[in-house]
Amino acid sequence: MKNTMIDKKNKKLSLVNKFSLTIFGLIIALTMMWFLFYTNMNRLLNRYVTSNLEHVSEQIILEMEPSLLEMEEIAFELSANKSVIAFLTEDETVDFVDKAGAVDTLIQRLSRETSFPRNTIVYNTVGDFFRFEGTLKNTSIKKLIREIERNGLNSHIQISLENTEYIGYISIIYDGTTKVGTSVMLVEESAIHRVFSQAAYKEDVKVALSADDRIVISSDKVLLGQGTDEMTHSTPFVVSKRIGFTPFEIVVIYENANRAIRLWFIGSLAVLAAVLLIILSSFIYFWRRNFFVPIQAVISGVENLDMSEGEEIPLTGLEHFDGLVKGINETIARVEQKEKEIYEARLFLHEAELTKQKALIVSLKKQISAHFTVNVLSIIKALSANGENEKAGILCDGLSFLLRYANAGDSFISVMDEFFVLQKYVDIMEVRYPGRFTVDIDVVDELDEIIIPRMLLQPIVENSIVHGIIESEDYNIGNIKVYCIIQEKLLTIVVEDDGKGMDDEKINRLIEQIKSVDENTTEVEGLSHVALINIQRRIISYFGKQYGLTVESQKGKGTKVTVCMPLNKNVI
Amino acid sequence: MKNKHIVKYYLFLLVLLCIIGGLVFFVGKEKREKKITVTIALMQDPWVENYETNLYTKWLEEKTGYNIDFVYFTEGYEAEYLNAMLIPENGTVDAVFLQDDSTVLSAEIFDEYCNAGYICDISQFVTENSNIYALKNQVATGDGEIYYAPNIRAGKKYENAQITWINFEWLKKLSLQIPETTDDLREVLIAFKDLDPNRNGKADELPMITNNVDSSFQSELFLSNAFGDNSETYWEYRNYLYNENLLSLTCGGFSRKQLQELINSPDDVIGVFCSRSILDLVYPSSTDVISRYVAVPPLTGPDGEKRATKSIPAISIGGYIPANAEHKQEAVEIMDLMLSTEGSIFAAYGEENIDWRNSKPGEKSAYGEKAIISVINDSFYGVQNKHFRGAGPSNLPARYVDNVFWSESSAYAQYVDARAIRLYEEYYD
Repeated sequence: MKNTMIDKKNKKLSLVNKFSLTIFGLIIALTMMWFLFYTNMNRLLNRYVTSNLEHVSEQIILEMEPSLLEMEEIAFELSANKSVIAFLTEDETVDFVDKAGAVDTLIQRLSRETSFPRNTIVYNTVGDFFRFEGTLKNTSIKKLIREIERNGLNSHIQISLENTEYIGYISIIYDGTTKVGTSVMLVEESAIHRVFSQAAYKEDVKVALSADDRIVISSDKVLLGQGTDEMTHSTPFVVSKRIGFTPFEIVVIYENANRAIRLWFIGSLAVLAAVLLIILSSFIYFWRRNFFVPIQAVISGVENLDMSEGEEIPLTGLEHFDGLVKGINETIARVEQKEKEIYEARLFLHEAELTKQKALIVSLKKQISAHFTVNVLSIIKALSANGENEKAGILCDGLSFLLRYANAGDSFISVMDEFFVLQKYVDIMEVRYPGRFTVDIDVVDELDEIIIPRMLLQPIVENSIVHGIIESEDYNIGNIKVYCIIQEKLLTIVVEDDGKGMDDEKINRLIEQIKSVDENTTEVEGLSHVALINIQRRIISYFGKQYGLTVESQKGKGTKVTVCMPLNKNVI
Repeated sequence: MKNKHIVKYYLFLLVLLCIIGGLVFFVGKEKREKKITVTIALMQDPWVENYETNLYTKWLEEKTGYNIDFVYFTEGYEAEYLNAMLIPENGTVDAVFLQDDSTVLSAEIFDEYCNAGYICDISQFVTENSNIYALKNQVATGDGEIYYAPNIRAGKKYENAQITWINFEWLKKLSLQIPETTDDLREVLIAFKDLDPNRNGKADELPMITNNVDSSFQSELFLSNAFGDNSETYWEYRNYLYNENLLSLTCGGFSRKQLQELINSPDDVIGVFCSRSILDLVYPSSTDVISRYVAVPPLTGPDGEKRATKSIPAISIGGYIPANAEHKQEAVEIMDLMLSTEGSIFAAYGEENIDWRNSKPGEKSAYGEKAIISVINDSFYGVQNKHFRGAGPSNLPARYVDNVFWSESSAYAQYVDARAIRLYEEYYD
């Protein structure tokens, strides 16, 4: 027993623990998801965007920077080299070419990292030029020189030569403070575009080369001409790198990052929603299966109980709830048992009461019968002694009738029969007390159908005759009236006399006694009121406390006894 | 209840399909990624856009089934690179490709490496039906060892040793004719020197130049052919030219770039020069300079004969395999494929029907013969990503060099060369 209780207790705890754990787990999962989503998403996205940006920019810088730096290095070397100055200041063509040899060696030595084919032209102030790299024709070179000199360009140039777009790095060569020449290193813009397109394979990544803080080449034409400072400030995801001391800067822009982030956000939100849905579905499924469904089964089982004998709520198949179900079933069984016991006890009590009532009636009947019989026999004796045998015979017949009536088995008789019996009694009493009273019994045909408890009225009439009239000091003829008031559900029988009545004290005492009567009342005060008390008790025991008799009396005026009971019609 | 089972069933099926699909993909990916990668070293040509994505590379990969990676050595550091590459026990390079005019590795140095065992004898990987085997007589050593896959330059332009070019503008200005004899040449050179044919008021003209960078630049060869075996007369003639500054030695030590700049200079200071092709020293885009010069046919010498020098088709090292290479067999297969006619055409001209096509009837080559292929887009000059621009093994048959119809920009120079060669070929000795 103890182990079962402990097991049950443990089972209850584990269900609670399970619920607590799952709730706890759910809260943790939700908190973690929130944490991941809100606190890390932006950071991850930013990092992703930034890492993408850095990756692309690194790739481009790795591809382009060496070539551009090499150009810077060559330009620097050319600007400070005596051989170059000697070459540039030579005005004889053959000697110019001859001295270019040393410069060529210098440039070749510095040219290692070229990833772009290059045209390197150096020219002097009179326009003599030497193509150290590349094979542009003379007219193209002259056009280039003209463009540089006319516009006073000294950092970079963009020019179209021989149907090819070039971008060039310009460096002025000085001998002291005197300009002696210019070096120009041209790179095909298409080569740069190729690098851009290889690196910026994503549409959102824009790559550009700026010169003197203006975008001059870009994977997106929209960016051309824009200032790099302006772009750096207006766009959140920008990586830029200036190439040494050249005027060039590589700029990588991650445009539409917000769109990318939004896309990631929406995608992540969708994933999060899906995960959340799965978790919640699992949670709901688990608890539905392990709690709500079995609980509902138990509730339905209880609701559907029709309390027929032996009926039980079916088991749920789950350990936690089967204990409850078994408990409920046991409780039902115990309740059934208790109800049965209560019913049997009530039945017993009722039967005991009935037995008691019957006994009382029997005793009453016997009491009444014994008292009355003695009196009448006395009268009969007296009459017989006086030779009034006819009257004695009437009394014998009457008594015989009354005794048979009092000992009859039925508890209820019709009012008509009760009145008949009452008349017989009155006849006897008239013999006993001739000329002292009259009894007027109001009989109507309807009374034959109405039943009342046996021996209800005789004691009342006896009281009226004996106590109200015979015992009165006034020897006037007393009048007794007996009549019924028939209502739909109520029968009222009234016995009123104009006898001596009772004083206030007496009547109040009687009324109190009558009021205090219930079905268990056994003690009565004073023999004269036994009948009324017993009648009240009988009425209460048959019909309940809302019925009974009432007494009204006034000294010297008479007494009125009213008996109320439900209207019962004979159903036989 | 039934619906629940059906949903579970389909979910299970979906998961199973995803697992199977994933396995197939990754197994396939793993299989794909297990392709052999052959690493090739070469000098990066800035006119080749990207060796990894080059169309020729893709073609080689497709045909052989191997991946090809490239590593680059820098001009000027070839010797150091070779040492670093060849000496270690386990090499990282499977083959080395050289330019057709490369000076990276002299024959002597190459032989030394071969003798020292640093270069792989690929004859063990060569089958009898291979392209390398077909060239065995040209590339194998006396012992039958093959240490390289060749780059063979065949065709009339490679057979001709030299063409002499004369400044036709100057001739016109001086009302002179193209010289036919050695005496004519002398007179023309004197006129070039004294009469300021470039009309700049300066005596800056170089009547005739010679250079030692390439044998074809040596004007002495052209002059000596006129005299044949009469060397004494030749030397006398030559010395006269030297002494009178008619044949300038000033440019003797110039680099090719210096020669080019001199010849292409707008100052127009060069009267006569020699080269195998006009494009050897004149820039392809400088059509004004190309048109400035015309070929001088072989001169008639004192003996009344004309002579021209015919070259043996040059065979240079196209590619070789280090002895410490990991994938020797695969590298041989690649080089062998490059030596095929199909590979050599691809390497020379690029993509069929994009850069070249089969010639139509009526199309003639620069030599006036029926053309076999027609070049649509000359991809050799300018940045391109169709071929290696002459690097690596190649064996383009002469007919695919000579019987070519040139249809655009470089056509002029090709026809100029062809016309010049036709002037010389009948006089090959």
